[in-house]
Amino acid sequence: MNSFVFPPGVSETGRFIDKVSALNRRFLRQTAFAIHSRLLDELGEAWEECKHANWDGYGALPVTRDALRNAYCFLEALPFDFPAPTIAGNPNGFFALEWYRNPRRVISVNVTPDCLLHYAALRGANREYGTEAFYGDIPQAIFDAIRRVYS
Amino acid sequence: MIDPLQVPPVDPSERLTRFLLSKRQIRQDGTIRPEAFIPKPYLELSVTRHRDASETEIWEIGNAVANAQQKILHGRRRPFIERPWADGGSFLRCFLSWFCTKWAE
Repeated sequence: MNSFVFPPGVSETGRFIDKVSALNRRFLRQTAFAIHSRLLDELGEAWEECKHANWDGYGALPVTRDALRNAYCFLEALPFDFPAPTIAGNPNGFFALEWYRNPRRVISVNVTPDCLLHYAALRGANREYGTEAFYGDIPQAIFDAIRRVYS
Repeated sequence: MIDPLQVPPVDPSERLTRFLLSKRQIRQDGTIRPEAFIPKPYLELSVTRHRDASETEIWEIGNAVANAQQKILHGRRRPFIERPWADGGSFLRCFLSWFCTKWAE
């Protein structure tokens, strides 16, 4: 699969709107929500740690630049008022974003280099998991799953 | 030390350890993230068998492994050895169940 996050707009106008929206979103996050820059710092630190093979001592695959880019886009696409995840590497070369309230209410979203989002969530006795394609917006299923962990 | 040519099968009650060489695998509350137990990229997970080793000896093994790889040993955790998709509601089981099923396809 070609790893590329497609913008939703394909016309010149559509691309312009996407670009302006993204810039505005970034500006808002950087000014009003310091959490965003902290998240991106954490993403960078996680990548520094996981970008080489065997970063876990058990033969883990390196987390690639494609996975980094997709994780960045995923974090950029999160709503402003959303809780912040913690970030770690996955031995398969993914980024693992985790929203953790307690051992019984937690969700992990794994961002792959080829624009897939593997997620698994636990809410009490309820479990849900699956895979969604990532095209630049948070898939509704994952959005709802994260919200349910905090509901 | 186990004879490498005669490795006995793992007993269900045997104590095992997975060393944690990435601090990100440990949450702030001290619990362990499931990524620490992902059997990459096959359905096998490297662990250290306690057998007759003492706690001190297990830590020494972990430190030796970490030093040999120029990494820091951040902790260790006993993984469960039953099938992760067996009954049980922990997030680790849920998560591993999903990943193991995925990789087995």
